[in-house]
Amino acid sequence: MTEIIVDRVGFSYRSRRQIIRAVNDVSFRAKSGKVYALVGRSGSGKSTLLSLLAGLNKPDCGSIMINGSNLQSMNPDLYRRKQISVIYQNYSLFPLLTVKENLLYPLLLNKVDKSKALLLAEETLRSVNLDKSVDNRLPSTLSGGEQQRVAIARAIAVQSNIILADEPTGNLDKENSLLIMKLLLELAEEKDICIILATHDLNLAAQANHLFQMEDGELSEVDS
Amino acid sequence: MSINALILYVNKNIHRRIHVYLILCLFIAALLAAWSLFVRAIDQKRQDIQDAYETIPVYIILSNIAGTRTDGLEIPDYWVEYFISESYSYQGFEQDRAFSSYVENVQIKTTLYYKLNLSGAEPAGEALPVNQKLIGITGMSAAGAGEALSAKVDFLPGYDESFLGSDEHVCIVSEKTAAMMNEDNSIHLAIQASPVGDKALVLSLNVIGIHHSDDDFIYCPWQLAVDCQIALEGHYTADSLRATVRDNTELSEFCQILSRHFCAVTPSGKAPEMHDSPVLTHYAYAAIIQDEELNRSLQDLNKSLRMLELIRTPLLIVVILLGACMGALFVHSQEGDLKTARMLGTSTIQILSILGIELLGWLPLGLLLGMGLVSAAWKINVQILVAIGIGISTLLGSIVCCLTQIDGKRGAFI
Repeated sequence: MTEIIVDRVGFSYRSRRQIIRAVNDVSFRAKSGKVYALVGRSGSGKSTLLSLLAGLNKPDCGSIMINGSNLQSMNPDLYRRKQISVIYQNYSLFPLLTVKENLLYPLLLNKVDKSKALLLAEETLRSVNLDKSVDNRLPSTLSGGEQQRVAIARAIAVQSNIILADEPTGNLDKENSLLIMKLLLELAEEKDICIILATHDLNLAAQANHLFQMEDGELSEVDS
Repeated sequence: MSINALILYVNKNIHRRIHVYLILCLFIAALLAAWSLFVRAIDQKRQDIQDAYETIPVYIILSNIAGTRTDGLEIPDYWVEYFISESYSYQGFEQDRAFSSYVENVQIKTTLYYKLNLSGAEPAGEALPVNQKLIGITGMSAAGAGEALSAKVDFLPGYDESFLGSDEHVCIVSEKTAAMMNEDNSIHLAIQASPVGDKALVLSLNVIGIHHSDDDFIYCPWQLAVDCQIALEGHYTADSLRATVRDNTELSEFCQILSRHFCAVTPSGKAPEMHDSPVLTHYAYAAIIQDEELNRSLQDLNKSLRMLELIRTPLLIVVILLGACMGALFVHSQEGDLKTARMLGTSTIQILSILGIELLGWLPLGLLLGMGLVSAAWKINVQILVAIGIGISTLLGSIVCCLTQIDGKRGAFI
């Protein structure tokens, strides 16, 4: 059971001699087994909020509690290694590692035995409907949808409690976007994972369990 | 072991980005080679300056005070002795170093007058034609030796110019005089110190060469002429004297010693100011120092050397900075991958370890290649310290780029 509590979090950064208040007094709760969608136009603060949740930035005020522990007091490397996975619009796979090696890397980083890691990688790739033939191919030889499924498989393989997805369907066509969204929904329910995704696609966001609107750094919940 | 993850990443990177490593390797090698060539250029300039001192001759030529005449000077023997004696006294004190040690290849000319003594009669002083000169020279290039010896001299078998450096009774005669020599190639001369001298002595000389000029000058070893003059007058004089400075790096020191006895005249012949000058009472002769060629060469070389020395430090800084830039570029080329690695939970230390392992692969190779190039191809001394400096700056550049670019970005998710 995973619970994220974001309490009155704010974050500012400097951009070209001006201070940008990217996240302003944001509070919400998220639990495992659900998909939470953040919608908003570009520059509304969605990605910044996700970066705070990923531990990439520290909030200027407020707190982020992950399963009762303050994120700011956690070791960020261990947090990102064991509790959280991130899925990006551009997939963020290692281009010079094969599909299987992309899954092996985080497993080996988590000190999983190599033979066990290999098995786990193969199983996970099958679970996201990727054929065995892709295992030894480089990511650049796959389609966008296949690459995003590899990224999701990587998140599943390390057994993260939380998945943050920043515009995961941004580079995909409608059909693949729907497939990915369906995969995320199944993942949340079957693996009891808390998934928070940022998107500007209202149709996709409507499929999530909870919908939040982000505007000028402020968050408000929208009835689904 | 999480190190397996790092090894996986590095192994695949090296295999699939080998061309990147090669380029970086070659650039570092080229950087080191370029710096070494620059240093070599500086060393070469210094060597050229040294060579200039060693190879460009500087002549000292005695003249009258005005510098208008270098022949017919009647330089007294005690002045000449400065240039040839192994000891040197100044103001009554023996000096540690002989005046003559500063010079070499001293060329001296002394003139006597002769008449062919064909009859073998006892000679007596009489009026002699002024063109019947017996010229004693230390070598063919003795100053004022006359145009005669610039023409070809045919030496008889077994003889050469070196005989002029001896005191042997030998001579070089004109064709006209050669026609009158004895069957044993000897001639008998009556010698006088001046055309109208009252004393004469007989000299028998072996002809060792024939010069092809219109005058009837006879050339003999200078020492022989000196012996004759001493025998006739009790002392000797020299018409002209020139010498070559032995070690040009001692020229300044030698000029100070020269100035004790001679006033200085520049090669252009410019004499010092004369009126009310102690020159007239103190000096009898001037010493023309022909060092224009040396000065001109040194001026050019020193100017070049100064330029190179001026840019040496800024260039070294540029080289080191370029090394740092290469390190930063190396990191920047895989910035996306390293950020992904960070997002997967790879720690900063682990990221630096990845970079360290990769750098250890190509950086030493590049430095060794550069050192090998300069050593084998151009035979230049390897600049070990600079190579180490480039290596360190590359490492630092990559570390700084890693810490600022991979970890330092704020406000962006990736």
